[in-house]
Amino acid sequence: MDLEQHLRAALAPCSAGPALRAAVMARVSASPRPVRGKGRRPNRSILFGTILVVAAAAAMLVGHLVGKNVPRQVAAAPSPVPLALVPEATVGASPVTKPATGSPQPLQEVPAQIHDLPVVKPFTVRVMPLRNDATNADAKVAVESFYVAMIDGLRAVPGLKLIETDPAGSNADVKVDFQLTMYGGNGPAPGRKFSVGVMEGAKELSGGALAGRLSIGTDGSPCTPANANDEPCADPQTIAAHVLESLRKELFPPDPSLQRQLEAKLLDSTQDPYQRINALADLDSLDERTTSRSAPGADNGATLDSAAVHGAIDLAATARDPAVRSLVWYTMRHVHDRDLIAPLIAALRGDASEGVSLQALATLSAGYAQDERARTALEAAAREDARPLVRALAQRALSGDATWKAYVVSSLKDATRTPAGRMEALLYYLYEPGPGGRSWSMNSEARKILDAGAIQALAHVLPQAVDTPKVKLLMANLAVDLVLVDDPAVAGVLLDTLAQCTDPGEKLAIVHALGHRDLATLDIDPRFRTALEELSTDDPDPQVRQSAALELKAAGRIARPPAASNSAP
Amino acid sequence: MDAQHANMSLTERPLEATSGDDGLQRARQGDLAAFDALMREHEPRVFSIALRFTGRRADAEELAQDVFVKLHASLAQIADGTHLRRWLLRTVTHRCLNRLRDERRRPRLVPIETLPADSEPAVTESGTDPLMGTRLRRLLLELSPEARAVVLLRFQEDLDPSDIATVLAMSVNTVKSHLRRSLEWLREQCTGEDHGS
Repeated sequence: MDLEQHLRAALAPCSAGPALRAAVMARVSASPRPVRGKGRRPNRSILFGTILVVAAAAAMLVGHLVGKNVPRQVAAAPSPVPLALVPEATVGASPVTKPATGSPQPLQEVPAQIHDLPVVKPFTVRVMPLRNDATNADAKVAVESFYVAMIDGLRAVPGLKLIETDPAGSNADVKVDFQLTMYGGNGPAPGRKFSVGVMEGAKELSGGALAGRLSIGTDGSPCTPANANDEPCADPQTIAAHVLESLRKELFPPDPSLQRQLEAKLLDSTQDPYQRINALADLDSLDERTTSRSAPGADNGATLDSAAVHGAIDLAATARDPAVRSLVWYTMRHVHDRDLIAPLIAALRGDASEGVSLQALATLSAGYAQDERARTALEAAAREDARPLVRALAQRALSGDATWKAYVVSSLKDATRTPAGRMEALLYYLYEPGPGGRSWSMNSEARKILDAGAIQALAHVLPQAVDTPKVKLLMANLAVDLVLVDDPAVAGVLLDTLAQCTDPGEKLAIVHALGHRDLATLDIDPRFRTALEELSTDDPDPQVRQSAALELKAAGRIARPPAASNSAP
Repeated sequence: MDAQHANMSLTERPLEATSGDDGLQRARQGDLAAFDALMREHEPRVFSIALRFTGRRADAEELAQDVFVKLHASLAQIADGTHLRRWLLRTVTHRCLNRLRDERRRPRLVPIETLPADSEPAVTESGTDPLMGTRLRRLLLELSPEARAVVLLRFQEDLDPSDIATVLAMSVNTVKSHLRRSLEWLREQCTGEDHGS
């Protein structure tokens, strides 16, 4: 057998097992979809060959036109990102405590030194003929307007050489860097006026041939972002402007003028803080695309310039929403700038939100643990901070993970604490946001640190802590993460969680998890089987009924056809 | 060993669709059972790449999870089964590359686990050498991230160089160069170890 055969044999796909799928189901079922500016991961990776699909609808058009006269919503959906960002009861009501030391410099004093991106290298974009599938007159006109606006916008992009083709295929053989196809049609659903989209069709490879064509359709998904700030969805021209901006940010080579626009938005203290945090995240993304953060000599992380860093510091000092402040410190985890140390220490010590303090602590310990000021602050926090979790995490930064893991287990077992207090460290441990932006992650190591006593303690404390917002939010995830722990007490946790669930998505997640437990477990604990049977017949949600029945069927243990008792009690 | 695999050469071959478009359509419409079926089909592919890339089961699980959550949010943009497979491969490899770059940038807070023996399935195909498989997977972790990605896509996913080039945003020549050099190095290592043993 030759090496290539050995490689194919060695690299045969293997499965992670059912827990992975169950965890994904928990996340997609139970977690809200990210809302730009609130839940967006600051370090989102821009995938090569980003596809943009935008659809617009008449209903949204009316809504947005009306909405333009209405103040923007400030309160938003729960953030799906780090646990520390879980919305608090005080969202929007707790101004940042002014730092005792190291107050950020006023923006006016920051030297306006713009660390320009390299001059944009000329690049070519071929635009294929418009595919207008609209059959009604209004939609046809809207799609054509979108196309015209896109062409005009593309012509204005610095460095972009536009190559248009016609249906006969002129210029089809010209080598290009990008190929775009605009398309559109009738509204995808009743009440929606039209839909439009853009495909990024190809990336020129140095080998010569065009490859990687992607044919992407739209099924009428709402505009991106789909939240209260969706003015870009209002009309074809505004949609085009929004799409063009996304192309410039995420696909085309970064150009200095875009960086300047974003930086100006970040530095403008009159701007909505959500616009500013978006600008910061976009700057970070641009930086990530422009600089080789892993290149030799780039070990200091991102290279956001001084103005951007100070803009971020100002945003953290002025934003009333703790989620925004948290996101600032979270984004700054990619940046190494000593000017951040003082405001990070101030946020660790004095921010009114514990979530913000924890984000600041994480950034401080990840990037500056060797700095004398940071170390002193961490030592003080570990010694005297009033918040137990802050003390424990500061200690972790100083002493390492072993102490922290021991704390997670011991605090869970500590009967002198409140139920929420006992769960606090475990939840942080399980779903702690990491430097790569991870959150809500299944942490299989957690299953290793929970000994039998800790599992027993968890089974005991979970029902008491379930009214705590963080526990409630993460309950389904927790159940799924524990589903394969071979301990009888886990059955209690799962059943308690299932009993507490009212959200169909959370129920589905647990149903999937239960279905993935092996048959032996079902045999050993008939309560699982009973629970699935009841759900398959009695649950008000058809998807839950169907999934429970499928899981039972898959196990070959369905006791009675779901239809037989559908009419239940 | 699959004869088709054994005779495969580095020729152009279209990326094959693996998912029924009907299931994809239902998943797009919010049918979680259909989405679960998609995951059932593609999870080994995604998880295996992440596992072989990172060498750590916990990281691989986490990466795979993130990929599927991202997929769920992006279903509206997926055209068909072919696109779905390409999207998954592209997303998981880029996330793996980003993860490794992050790790190189700053030390991890969590101790790095070693790849446990039970992370990989026992190789059961006749004519294969389980020890060789283990050795190759360990050697794979010593390749540069980009070369590792190329080798994984080539020998786990059977992608041809042009498809690998598309997924990884490399030129075809770069892909071929990575493949050639990686295979030479792996051959040297295996031969050397054989001699030494």
